[in-house]
Amino acid sequence: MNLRLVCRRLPLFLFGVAMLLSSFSYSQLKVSGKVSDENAAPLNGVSVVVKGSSTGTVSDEDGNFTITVPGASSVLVMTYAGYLPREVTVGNNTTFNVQLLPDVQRRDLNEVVVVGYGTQRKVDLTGAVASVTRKEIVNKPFTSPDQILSGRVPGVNITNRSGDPGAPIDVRIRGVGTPGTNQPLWVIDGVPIVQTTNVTVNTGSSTESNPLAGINTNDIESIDVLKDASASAIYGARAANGVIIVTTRRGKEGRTSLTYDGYYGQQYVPKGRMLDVLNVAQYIELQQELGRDLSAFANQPFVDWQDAIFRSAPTHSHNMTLNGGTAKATYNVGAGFMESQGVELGQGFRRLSLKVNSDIQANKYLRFGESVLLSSVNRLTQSESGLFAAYNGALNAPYYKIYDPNGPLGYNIETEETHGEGATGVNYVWRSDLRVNETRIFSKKMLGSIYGELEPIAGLKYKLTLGADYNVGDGYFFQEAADFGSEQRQSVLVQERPLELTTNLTQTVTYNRKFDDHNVTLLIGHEETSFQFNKMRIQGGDLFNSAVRLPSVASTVASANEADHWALRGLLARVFYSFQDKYLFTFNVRRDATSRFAKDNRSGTFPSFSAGWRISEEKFMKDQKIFTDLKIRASWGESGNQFTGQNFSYLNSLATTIFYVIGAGQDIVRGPAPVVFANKSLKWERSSQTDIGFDALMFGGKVEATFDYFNKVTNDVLLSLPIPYSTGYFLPADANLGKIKNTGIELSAYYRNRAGELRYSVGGNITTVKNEVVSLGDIKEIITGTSGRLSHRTTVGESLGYFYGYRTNGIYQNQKEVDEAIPDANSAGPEPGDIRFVDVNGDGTVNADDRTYIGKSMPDFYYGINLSAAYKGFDLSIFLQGVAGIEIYNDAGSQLLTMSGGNNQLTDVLGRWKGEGTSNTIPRASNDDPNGNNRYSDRWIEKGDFMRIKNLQIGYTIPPKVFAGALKDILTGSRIYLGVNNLATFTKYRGYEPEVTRGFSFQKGEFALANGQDAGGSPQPTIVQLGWSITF
Amino acid sequence: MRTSKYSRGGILTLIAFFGMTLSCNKLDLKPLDRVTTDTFYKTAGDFDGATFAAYASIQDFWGTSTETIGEMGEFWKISLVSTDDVDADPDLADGRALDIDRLLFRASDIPWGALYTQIYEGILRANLVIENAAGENELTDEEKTRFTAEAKFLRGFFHFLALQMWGTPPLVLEVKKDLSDLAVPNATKDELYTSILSDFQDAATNLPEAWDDANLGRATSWAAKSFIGKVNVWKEDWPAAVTAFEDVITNGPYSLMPNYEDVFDFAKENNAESIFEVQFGGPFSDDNLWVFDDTHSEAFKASQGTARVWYFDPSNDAPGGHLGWFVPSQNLVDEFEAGDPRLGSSIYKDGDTYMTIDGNSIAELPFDPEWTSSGYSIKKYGGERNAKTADYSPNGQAQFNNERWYRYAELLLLYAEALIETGRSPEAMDIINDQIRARVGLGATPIADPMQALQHEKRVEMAFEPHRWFDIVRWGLGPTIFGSKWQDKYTVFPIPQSEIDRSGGLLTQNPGY
Repeated sequence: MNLRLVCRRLPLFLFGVAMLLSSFSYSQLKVSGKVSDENAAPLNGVSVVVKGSSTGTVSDEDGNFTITVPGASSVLVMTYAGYLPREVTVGNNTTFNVQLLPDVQRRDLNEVVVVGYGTQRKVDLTGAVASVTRKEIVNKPFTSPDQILSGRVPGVNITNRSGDPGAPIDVRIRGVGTPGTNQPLWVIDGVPIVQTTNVTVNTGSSTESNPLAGINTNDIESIDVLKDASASAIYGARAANGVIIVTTRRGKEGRTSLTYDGYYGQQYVPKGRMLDVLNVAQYIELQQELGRDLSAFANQPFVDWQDAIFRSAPTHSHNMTLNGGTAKATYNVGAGFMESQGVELGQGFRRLSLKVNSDIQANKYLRFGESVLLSSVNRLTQSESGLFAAYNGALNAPYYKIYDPNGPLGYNIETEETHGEGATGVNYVWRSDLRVNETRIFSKKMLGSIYGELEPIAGLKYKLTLGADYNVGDGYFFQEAADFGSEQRQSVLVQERPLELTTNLTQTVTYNRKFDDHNVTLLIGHEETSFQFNKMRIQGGDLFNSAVRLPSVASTVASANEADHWALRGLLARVFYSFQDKYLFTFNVRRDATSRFAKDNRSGTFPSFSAGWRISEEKFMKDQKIFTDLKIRASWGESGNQFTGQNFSYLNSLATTIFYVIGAGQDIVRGPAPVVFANKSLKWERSSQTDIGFDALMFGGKVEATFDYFNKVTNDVLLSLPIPYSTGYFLPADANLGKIKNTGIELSAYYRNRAGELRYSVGGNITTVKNEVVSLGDIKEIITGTSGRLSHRTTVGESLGYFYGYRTNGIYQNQKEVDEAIPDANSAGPEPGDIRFVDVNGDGTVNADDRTYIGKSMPDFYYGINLSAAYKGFDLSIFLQGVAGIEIYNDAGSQLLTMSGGNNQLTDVLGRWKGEGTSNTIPRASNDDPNGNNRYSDRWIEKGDFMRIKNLQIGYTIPPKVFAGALKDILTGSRIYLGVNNLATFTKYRGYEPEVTRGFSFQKGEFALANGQDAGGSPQPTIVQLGWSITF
Repeated sequence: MRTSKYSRGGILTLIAFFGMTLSCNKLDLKPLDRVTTDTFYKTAGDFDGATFAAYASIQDFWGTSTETIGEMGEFWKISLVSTDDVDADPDLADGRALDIDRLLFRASDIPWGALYTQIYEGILRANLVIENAAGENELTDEEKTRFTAEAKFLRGFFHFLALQMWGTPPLVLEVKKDLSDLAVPNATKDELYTSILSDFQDAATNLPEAWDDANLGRATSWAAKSFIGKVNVWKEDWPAAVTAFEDVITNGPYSLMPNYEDVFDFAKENNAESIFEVQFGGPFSDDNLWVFDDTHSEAFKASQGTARVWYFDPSNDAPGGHLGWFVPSQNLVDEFEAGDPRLGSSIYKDGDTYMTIDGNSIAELPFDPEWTSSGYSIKKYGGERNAKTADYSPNGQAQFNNERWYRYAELLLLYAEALIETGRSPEAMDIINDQIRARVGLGATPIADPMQALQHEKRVEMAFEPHRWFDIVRWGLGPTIFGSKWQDKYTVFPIPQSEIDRSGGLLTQNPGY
């Protein structure tokens, strides 16, 4: 399939080049110019045509165009959607600066938005669709397309799992609707992407990578987010979490342009974000109190472990884009290279990508084209034994040295002699050295589609799209034989190679007809999707020679397989009807059948209805001056979700990887047994959503506002339900259970204006989401956590997976208070200086029944603010993003406050309880913690609100006239800019990073039932970026 | 009319495409990496496998796993560190071991959850054999009876351990199939004893007396009878215990190994003294020791060994890079009388020659008391006889020596106890002196009180075998040994908090937790 697509691409490309060359051959007079809007901002995509001929071009991002005209008498006609057309006679000029004025009445009328299986005029939209255009995408240090959405789109919240480049990202559209995966469906150039967690090595969630990291954001033209059911229901089975449609750049008719975009940046972690730990004297004093004599180290200097592991890391990106075409064929070819070192040792990301798109109008009736992406990602991530190196390094005894000239590879070994008895000393710098530990995730992506579109009668189109997404992963885990002092190990090499193939076939018939006041669009379609996965894992122990990095060249070799597949079939239909462009109706329906459920529950039908009323078109609105355009929308619809925690969990099946030993020869025998409770009645999860909103354009386009209220209810929630262990199943059972509701509002507004030559705009968006579990069926509660912890609870009436633990009420200050203490099942008896836990249920004893709500990991609201200004060639933009009303379980931080064991601690412990009245928050130091002061309680829950200056950019567009001679002819545009990403983060949270998702464990994937746990991952780095863009 | 021609052509093409592609995906798919039940539980080979799966749950009592709930040799903490025999090294051991050493038993702690999970997983697997043997399959009647008996042996074994640990845990005798009816309430002690004894009785009646070489290590009828005796000791039905033990002693195949060290010799697994042994072996597949991974997401099973050597063997400057979490207590060392050779067989002390796996070779050097916090290290299952590379996984973390769960010496001591309880103390003293002590070359016990003599003898004979905690509880020695630290609630462990949470109020926590 892919090979065929690649073969397909080549002739098209050559064809495109040929067309381009032929267009050069008959040039007579070359003129160029720049088109700008009423505010003198460049207009991209303005059609420039020589009147009375078929010669034409389109202006580029900077408004520049170049065109060949027959002579001085030629007239150029410039047209642009929403603007009044303008004609200019060439005369003796060779350069033009043309300003187009808005046609206020028709502004945005023809602006088109990508919806499922087609496009729609923005004014005709009856659903909630938000778009991000190329302008907001380019020149920003994004590693993957999901990062683009952060703060930009109302209703969408983005949370990075770590600042480690290439780490997974949680994308949440309108809250968390299901306890399983909440990732929206990404459709890239018509191919739905199956996002999996299969590309990992050695199982740890830290090696999970973002499946979208293979996509170069520079290739993207626009991203459209389908939020409500009316917009997304056409994707039925997989649309419950919303749909994100990515359209990559396609060729433009006219002049060929070659653009280079690049930047170079430095990333670092601001000092202020680092953990403030005890110095040598303070540490030794605390340890003395805990019963360890480390005074022998008193004269040793302080070793800043965090400073040794965090680093200033370069990042750079280079993109070449070739774009052009003729009226018959257009093409866009983009090649990109990106490399980013992580801010911690042992992290890095490198991507090579090639994107080729072409479209060909074969004849009057037939149009076809293709879209191919090839990319290769090489991600270096921290190894199991050097995980969360900066945070873990901070736990080291503060005098524990990193280097020792006589040590192995020059490192200080981990023994009692080097760090003292009972003190923590794990050499994370050594363990991050690639000679000792190297963990890489390689992934190659081939994503391609080819389409053919037949239009036998004007308005009737048949479109067939064949797409494939082929991913070859390669997890590579190498550890060299080493003797750390505390741990001796042989060499190990693991290679995990997952292969994933998603194939997709879509065919649609669209009929559009306009007669008088009636406008009708009909769409019917059919889609087949299949997914296949096979993973091979080879592990070699004790390598023959570690220069040969192949697992099979080892003393002991083991292998394992995993495999899965599923298939989906959908039939879809849409009817759009509008009357006088004023009253708009859309009806969508999709029926999907999946292989993931038993036959009886296989099919699901997902309808949606929506209506819009363009009030501004009414007569009574004609005289008012406020609203240029005003539309009220309402929709209701249903969409589905088929993804369960386990594959084939409706079937009784037995794992084949259980073994025992039997016989005189101690032979290893296989013992098949079920490991998952089979739930025959498993069925579709259905989410129904109501949306009411308006879109307004006010004051002649100066103000634009969109508002939406949504109410999304997920029924028959697909849930991995922790079931009693007495059933014999450790793993949770997949079940349809209960109801989850997400309600909220989204508001986005824009104001743009000018003052003299200064153009400026202010925009922002805010989203509130209230998440509530409405029902859990017969189940009273779900208590779970990563690695078997009982840290999160789900109950009716609260948000999904809130933090569940003990509540504290200060510290027992004296013996009298201790004597009056309530009996506590987790305490061996308190002493003065211990934490007082609250008897929440008032039954006179503190025990498991007193665990209670202590916080939640879902925000109340999130927002983004955008400021931009331009003056002459200078431009400035500031983008802020924030989240509020959220708590974090600071698991990492808790280790820095326990005051037991040999870990270094935060300087907060200097204020620990040392006698009556000395502290009411930090208990006494106690090595064995008989009172259970460190049990899971509100002590470890912190506010996670933050606001961050996400991006600041100052740019300067160099006018072509400054270039002399030949350069002047070659260069049509260039801009340089200085950007800062994550300039500052304002938060009270004391961990490295307030963007927190799931805790670390060896179970993969999202963990919506136990989210918001900080395991000590890398913070989002600050990136200072110098970039330039040149168009030839 | 060109247009209409095209339109007709177009529409025809459409229909053709729709028709051609509508059925291109198959929706009736089967798992690719698992067996479905409609093709399993048919042949004797299938049932062998299904039975082995139940045995495999026992291996995992000592499992180490990062995948599931992060077990780190939890059964050693529960059965050894809890007692006065073993301490958790204060600087090296994990917090869970330290808490148990301090008798801080909290319901939310992982050790209970780990064992509870494994025990009930074993019960499920036994129940699957029992239910499927009764269903439609290719087994002969004889095979049906035998597989059922073996599964009942295992079910009895698991329920008995659950009873020892939690007192009144759930009794699960069927495979739960209804999602809305999964939780099981506490069973009474009577219900548990009745079921356990009935299961072992069925096993005693229908299991073979011995297995051929290819099946060595599977439960026998004599093992079942031995368990009937042991369960009756816990039930304090002393006459029934005496009857069962006498049957085994008189008619059974067991005898004490001539040399105490023979018992734990890697080369002498499943020996004449062995009644029930947990089988380990290798090397197999992976380097690591994550045995507790039947639910491992990567679908591989590691070496079939225990991490005994990894947790037991000293750390600090000792060779091999082991953890050294669990160390023998001075109190236990003091319990050995002068000249008792079992001290040297069980414990390393100053002046001994220490042997362990170090990389790919065996290290042999003088034992340095500085290596451990008590100055001692556990030697049982180790030492010269077991320090052979074939006994270890290639990376030296896992050991393949079987766990002698129930051996004839224990049966004799249980028998002696039953004799004391039924007024036949002189006979009990004969067993202690003429069998247990005689084997190690010791004369008659200097302790006059028969019960005290028995308690001393059992402690030193069975040091580091998983029995002492349950004996302490049964003998009521808690206050004597632990003084004011002892609380009555310790006679049973807390039921895992997660299980209470998931039972919807059906399961009651043990008092005090």
